[in-house]
Amino acid sequence: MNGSATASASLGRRMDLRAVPSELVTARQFADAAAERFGLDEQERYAFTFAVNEAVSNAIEHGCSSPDGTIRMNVAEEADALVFCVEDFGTFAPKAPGVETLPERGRGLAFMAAFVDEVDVTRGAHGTLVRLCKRRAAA
Amino acid sequence: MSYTLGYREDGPDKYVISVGGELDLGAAPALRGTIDHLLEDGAATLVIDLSEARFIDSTSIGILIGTMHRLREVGGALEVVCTEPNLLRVFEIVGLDKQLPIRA
Repeated sequence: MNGSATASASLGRRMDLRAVPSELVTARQFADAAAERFGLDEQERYAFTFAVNEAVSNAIEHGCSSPDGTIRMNVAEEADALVFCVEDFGTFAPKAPGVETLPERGRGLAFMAAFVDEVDVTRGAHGTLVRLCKRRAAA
Repeated sequence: MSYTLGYREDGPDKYVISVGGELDLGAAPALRGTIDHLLEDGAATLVIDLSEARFIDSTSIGILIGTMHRLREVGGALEVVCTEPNLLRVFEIVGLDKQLPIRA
C-alpha cells in the first residue's frame, strides 16, 4: 500500500493512490471509513464502497495517472450528503468507441448509479473526474 | 492479494470454482483465466462458489454473465453459490438473480 492520506476536520480527506489494481483495497478502506464517519448503516456503507470501487477501477483501467503514476481521491461531507471524487490525470486520449471497451465502462457507470444517488463524470483537458454523491437516508 | 481461488472436479464435466475474499480488478484475470481453462477442457457445468467471498465488482459480475452465455451456447449451465447478504443484495440490484440460479 502506497496510499498517502491528508485529512482535516471539516474539509474532507484526500488520498493519492498508485494507479494499480492492488491499491483498490486501500480505496475501499478509505471509502468505508468515510461512510462510517458519516454515519451510514452497514448496507449503505457497502453500497457506497461498491460505487467507489467502480469509480476507482475505471480510473485505474481506463484513465491516465499523473506523471508520478497516481490518481487522486477526495471525500467530503456536504450538508446531508457524502461526496467522493476520483480524478485521473495526464492527457486524455480520445479513442473511437469500441465493442471491447464500452460495455465494461458502461456497466461500471450504470452500476455506480444503482448504488449512490448521483454520478457525475467530467472529462477535461487534464483527465477525468468522477463524482459520487450518497445522501443520508431520510429518517 | 485479497482473494483466494481454487477449483475441483465434481462429476463428469462439472467443476466447482471456489472464490474467497475480495473479487476486484486484481482478481478478475485469475477468475477469467480459470474459467477459460475449464471451458477449454470441456466443462459443461460450472458452479461458482462465493461462500467465502466478501466483495465482488462489476468486472467479475460481467465475467459471470459472459460465462453463463458461453455455457448456454454449448448446452451447459452456470450456478452461483452465495450466502453473503451484501453480495446477494448487489446481485439483486444489478438483476443477476434474474439471469442466473443463485443458491445458498
